[in-house]
Amino acid sequence: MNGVGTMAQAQRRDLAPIPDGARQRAVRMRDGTLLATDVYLPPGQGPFRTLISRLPYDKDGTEFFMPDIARYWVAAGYAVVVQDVRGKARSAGEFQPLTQDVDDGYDTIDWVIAQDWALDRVAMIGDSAAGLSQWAAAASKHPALVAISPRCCGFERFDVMYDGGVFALDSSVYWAAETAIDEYLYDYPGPFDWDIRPVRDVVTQAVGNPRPKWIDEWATLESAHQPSLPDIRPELACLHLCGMFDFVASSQADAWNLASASGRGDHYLVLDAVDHSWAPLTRAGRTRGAEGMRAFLDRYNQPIREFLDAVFERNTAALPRVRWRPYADAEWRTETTWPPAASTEATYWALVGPGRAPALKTQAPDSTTVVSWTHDPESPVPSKSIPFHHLTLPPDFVDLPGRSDVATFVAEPLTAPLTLVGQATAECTLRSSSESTHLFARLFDVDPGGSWFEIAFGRRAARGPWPRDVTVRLSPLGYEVARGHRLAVVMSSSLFPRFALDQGTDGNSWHEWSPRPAIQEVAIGGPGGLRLKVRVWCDEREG
Amino acid sequence: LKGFQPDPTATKAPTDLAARRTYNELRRRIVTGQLAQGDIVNEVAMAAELKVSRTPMREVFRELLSEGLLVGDGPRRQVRVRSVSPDLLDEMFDVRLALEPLAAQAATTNASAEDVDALRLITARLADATKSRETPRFLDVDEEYHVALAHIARATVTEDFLRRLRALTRLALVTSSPSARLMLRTHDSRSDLTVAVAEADASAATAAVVNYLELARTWIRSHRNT
Repeated sequence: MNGVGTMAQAQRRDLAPIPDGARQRAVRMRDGTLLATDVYLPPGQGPFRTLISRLPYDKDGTEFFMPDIARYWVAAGYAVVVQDVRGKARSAGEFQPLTQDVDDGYDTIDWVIAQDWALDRVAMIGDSAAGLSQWAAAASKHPALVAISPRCCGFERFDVMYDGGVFALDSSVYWAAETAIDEYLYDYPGPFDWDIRPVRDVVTQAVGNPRPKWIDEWATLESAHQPSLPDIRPELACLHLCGMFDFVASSQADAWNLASASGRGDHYLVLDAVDHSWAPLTRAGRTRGAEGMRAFLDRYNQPIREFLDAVFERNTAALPRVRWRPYADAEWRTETTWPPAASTEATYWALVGPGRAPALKTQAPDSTTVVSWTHDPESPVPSKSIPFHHLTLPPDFVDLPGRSDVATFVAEPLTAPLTLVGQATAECTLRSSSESTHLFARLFDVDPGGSWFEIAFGRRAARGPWPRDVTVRLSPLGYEVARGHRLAVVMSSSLFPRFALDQGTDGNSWHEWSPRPAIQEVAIGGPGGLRLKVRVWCDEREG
Repeated sequence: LKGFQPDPTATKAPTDLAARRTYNELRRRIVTGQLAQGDIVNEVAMAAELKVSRTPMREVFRELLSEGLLVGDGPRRQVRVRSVSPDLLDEMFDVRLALEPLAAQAATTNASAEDVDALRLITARLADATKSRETPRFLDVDEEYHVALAHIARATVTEDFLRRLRALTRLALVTSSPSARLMLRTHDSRSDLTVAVAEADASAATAAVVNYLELARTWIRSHRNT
């Protein structure tokens, strides 16, 4: 048992004081509910370009540094409005997480444009839940909302939770335990005890009774979920900001794919080498302390500022449609499409043979066989990383090849650097001894020293009759694999606690626990043989 | 768990944050009766139980002693949870009745539009807690109102006194948890006070505060079960 014995670990966070420079107002929604709303104004009379952010994390707290972010924008001449969503922190009303933001977004915009310091055109900023609240406000079709810049999110919550049909367990649990108990935020001094079964009791032990009711609903969603673009105004400008190491990156890629192909809205994409918390993958290391905070705010806000300046100046013609970079301290690479037009598809085939280690080759195998493993729900493959902070302390998966419940395929060391772009897929014919199962595919960069760094992942729920063809779509890539490094693909049937456990029966492991081991078989060679399809960037500057 | 990580080295909570969290936890135990009035509270044992070092725990004890929720007495200077006697209760409400009307009157003079909005927001949350009959939440939000009003009065000494008196009132309520009807009437008197501050009506503000305090005193007197 981790943590503090039988005592609930949840510790209520104090509401942060209203920061210097902010004026808190009570903004009335259409049903009379008052929402706590900070206003930050630049010097002068205005009217100013105004940015709105609506979030459930305490508008004045340090979790998302909204006071610091507001100060950045005020220095750039923008007014900033930051609001606690309904039922959170200082806002009144009942909190129904991530579901009330269409009307509240509309009414907040209405209030903002009625102020004498605001222009009649506004934009929105914010990450994660504050990104979802932007899509919700966009769905309200308020005519004064001219631009949104959602970061680290899909269109709505189930896009992230049920990508591939497999419930994103630890991220949803952590989110609910921190955010969805009541109007306050909660901290946890110790780790959650993920050995407890059924899994719902992990939350009960950490939070105490009652569990946030939302997490039960989320964990047991019955129907399959497919993302869909909200009904937005055709002229709305949208900057999609995606961290390639973010656990929601696949959902954000879906959002980009659907939105940019829809003809509704004017869409731009930024793909950066960061995780959900915007921690970077860099070549030069990270600057820490106060200087690090300044560097962070510049790096974090700069693409949005270019976008918003252009939108407010009605001059978006020069904006690059797509920007990406393999390191967060590299120059941006601009494209007109994603994946870049200057890229080609490559296929790596999984290969096994007598007396040889499983391999990954660019030539298809000339014989067929199967590779199999036993999925034991009582001893799942550990996911190791904290979903929100993949790059803060990146785990080393060096122990993966030794596990008997995964299938690992490693390519030869690269003789030249290779830059992977777009979304890779792992495709195969699958057979399971269970009626249904999960299939996880992960792509690794294995360095010459033997460290395994996860660069992309994907998941897919599958159900018989077997055999059947399964495609697992991996998270977006813009990653440079160095010379001498090797690519590796790892297939498994669990990745816990990152994702819900399939227990080899139809029962949901959230509420009940009756585990049954299952044999999984993946075809090698032939038309259904396991293969990784990737896109390789061709740097036109190098010819 | 989530949130930005601009400085990955800052993984350990600073001492003041640890002290704040420990303070919140210990105060919660006292005002919910988990630690009963008169119970001995040992600094070393509590530090071990809450998994914090002695330094933040010492700070927490100092703050709770200053608030009056803990008292140091006895031959060995044992620290106990304060017991609220009927005499102390009477004295406490007498002092509050002397001070809080002054604060309310000052608030009607000093309150900015933002101050009035802060009271409106707390009043609205108080209405939510009343509606859902969540007593601890109601008491927490009512305490926020109390602190906000004292702050808006811009009277530093009064604010300091009122903070301390509020803690003792909370302690008195451990053994006389408010009914739904009392919560509703309390909310109504807070709502009246918010309107009075918004309209800069000093006499209405005074009447609302006196009404609120008399309600609380009568309730606690008649429902004490110790």
